[in-house]
Amino acid sequence: MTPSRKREKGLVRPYVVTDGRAHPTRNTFDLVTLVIAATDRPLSGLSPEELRMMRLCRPGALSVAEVAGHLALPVSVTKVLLGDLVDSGHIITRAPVPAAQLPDAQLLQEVLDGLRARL
Amino acid sequence: MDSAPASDGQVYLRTTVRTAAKLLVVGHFAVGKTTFVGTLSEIRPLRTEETMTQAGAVVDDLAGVNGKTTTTVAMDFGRLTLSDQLVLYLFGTPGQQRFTRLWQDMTRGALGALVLADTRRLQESFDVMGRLEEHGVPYAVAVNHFDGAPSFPQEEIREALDLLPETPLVVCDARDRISATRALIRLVQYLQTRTATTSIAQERV
Amino acid sequence: MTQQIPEVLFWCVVAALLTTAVLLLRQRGLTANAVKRNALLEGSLRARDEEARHLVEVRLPALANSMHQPVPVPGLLDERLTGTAYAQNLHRVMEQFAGAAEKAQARADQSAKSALKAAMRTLQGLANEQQLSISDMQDRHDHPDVLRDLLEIDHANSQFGRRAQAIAVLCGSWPGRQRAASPLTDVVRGAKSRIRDYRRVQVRTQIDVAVVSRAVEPVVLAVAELLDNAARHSQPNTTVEVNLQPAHNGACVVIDDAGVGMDGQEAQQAGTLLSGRRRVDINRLGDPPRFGFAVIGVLAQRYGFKVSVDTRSPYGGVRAVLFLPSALLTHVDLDEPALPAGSVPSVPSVAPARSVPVAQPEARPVPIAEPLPDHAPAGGRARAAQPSAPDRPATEPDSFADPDRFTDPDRFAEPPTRAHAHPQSESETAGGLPKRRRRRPVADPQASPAAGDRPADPPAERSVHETAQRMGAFARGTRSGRAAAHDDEGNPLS
Repeated sequence: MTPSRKREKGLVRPYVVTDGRAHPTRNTFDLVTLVIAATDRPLSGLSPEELRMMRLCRPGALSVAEVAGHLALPVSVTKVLLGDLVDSGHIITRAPVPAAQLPDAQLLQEVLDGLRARL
Repeated sequence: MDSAPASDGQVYLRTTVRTAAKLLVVGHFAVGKTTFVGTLSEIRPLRTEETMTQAGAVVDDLAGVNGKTTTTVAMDFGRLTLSDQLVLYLFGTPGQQRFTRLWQDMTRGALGALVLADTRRLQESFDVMGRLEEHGVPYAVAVNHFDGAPSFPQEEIREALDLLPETPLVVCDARDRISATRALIRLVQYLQTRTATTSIAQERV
Repeated sequence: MTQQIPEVLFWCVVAALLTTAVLLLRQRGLTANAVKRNALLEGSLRARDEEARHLVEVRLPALANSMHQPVPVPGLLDERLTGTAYAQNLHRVMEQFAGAAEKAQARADQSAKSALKAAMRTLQGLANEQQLSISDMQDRHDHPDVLRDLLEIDHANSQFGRRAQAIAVLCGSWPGRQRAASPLTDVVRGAKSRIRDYRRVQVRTQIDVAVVSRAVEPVVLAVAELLDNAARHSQPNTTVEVNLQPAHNGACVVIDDAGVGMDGQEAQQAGTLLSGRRRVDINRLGDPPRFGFAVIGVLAQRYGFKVSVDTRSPYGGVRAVLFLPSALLTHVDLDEPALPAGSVPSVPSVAPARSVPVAQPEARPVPIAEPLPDHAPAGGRARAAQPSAPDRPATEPDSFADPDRFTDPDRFAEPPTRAHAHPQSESETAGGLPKRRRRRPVADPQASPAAGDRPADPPAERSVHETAQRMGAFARGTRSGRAAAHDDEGNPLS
């Protein structure tokens, strides 16, 4: 039997993954919200998806969209799990585009500089 | 079964990154979004085009399902680390679809959009441009250069697309990193010329 | 001499009388015998008549009944007929009747089964198809309210699919879904996904074994039936606990409920069904039909795992144990979330694209000097904007081709049409490019859905308030999107 490298999609349904919940405990996630796993939290008691999320996010920061993509979960489901993990202190978020602190003009200038540097 | 990811610098963001900016790359199917995002992205473009038949394969010739190839497409998704603090995400989407919630989420907080167009199928870009206008997302147009496609004077393309005088129109080659970067630069320059209040990036609904 | 004559006469008479008397006596004996014999024959005949009636009225109906339930079939009415040719003939009638009835029964059973199987497979196919659509929508919509509704539909659909699947299996179909080898934990949670009370099921342990591809779906189905049974026969406020345990030549899924347990007869009946040794009669599953154990039995027999429910759970209910032999187990190294350089993880999708091949590159700017067969426009200007078939989802509307779309506000709310119109001269540039009309930002699409369709002024600089309004409108979606007849693609109507 050749072991498959891909997780069978559609076997475990999303309502089992979220235990029937559709609403994240917090409404702070954007597609580009950056998340990183706390390293000092015990992993016991986490669901398989949460464990996968923790393993994924431990080595470094990723955006919510990337987490969803890597774990092949719908973005909305990913947000529910991430909300739980933030509540339990397992995941730390970095705000997306902190508009209030960073004026648009400055952000645009930084983006422009960054792009120009790639030429 | 799940091992920890290899510590691959390409997968994770630099620890110093504090800000994520978002730009949309929109256009109809086969206009070059995937290529564009892939050319610029430092990670392999995150994209689904998984055949759903794999998950739902019904080998026992179940009525009505057999042979049906359903695929889901595709939020092309790329990343560019622009500085120690700043990362830029590119989201490619067909956009001409009726707006979905994911589109909404994608658009919210986006600095602006780059519309990829193909002169041979120009009218396929109309709908997505109209939608961007309806929803107040500032955009620039990049005509993706396809070999064999007829070239038109810029003025004629502007006329055809009914562009505002200030809307940038560039020709680019989505396969070429420099060319693609220039197109983005042109977009960001245009965004800069608009006042800070017009950028939807600051608006939260 | 004369005296001698009467003497002779006397003796003659005597002799004649004697003879007559003897004859009379003999005749009487003969008659009596005939009468006796007649009576005997008559009785015997009556007995056979009775026996025949008994056959028709009692024995054959009893025989017919005995095929459905264990009732005794009475023997001969008259013991005296035992061993006679007549009795043997009756017996042959019984045998022929039984044979014919059994054949008819088998035929009826078979045709009922195939009819049911065909029906269930159709339902199963529809459930699978619907699940794909639901998955698709879950990927596309990023809103908790939409997700909540989708989760409910998904849950109902999964149960519906399982029922159809179970009946199809009983009718001789196979579970009907090819799955990749999957971790046992996922298999059990896949089973959990298919029952009504899934939230009461707690999978306590995880072990690092996987189920081989061909056994995934059967085991999912069997575990689902066990979980459903456990949840049904226990209080709604109790949990159903699942533990996964490695065994020396396989692995076990142990399911404990805190229900009422089974009595000896129930357990014995369950054991028989679970062994899969008895042929399942779909006509005898009861009303309402209870086919859980029967389905498990069929699957266990066919795929080589074992299920027992004869232990008492420490919580008072039933402990069900599903044993998977090593032959059905494997090990999988899933490449996620580990991300070696170059892995291409997937991301939730935005658009449905039917019949787009996997990994079909979407963009095709081709190197210079390389021909571009499917796009090379004959004569320069390609107006027919139809891309080649594989790149284009069949369900995607060609919304651009209809020039009226941009001039007739009433048409805005209609779904884009497929027809390609030929642009008139005023809708083309001098060089032949089709012309677009700019749209105006929609302040509130619900108030003026067609506003954006009118030739618009250049968007003026917007105030923060305006922008917020627009984004709000955006969040509510456009009416055109709602009104479009393509909601089967997954647009929420909320």
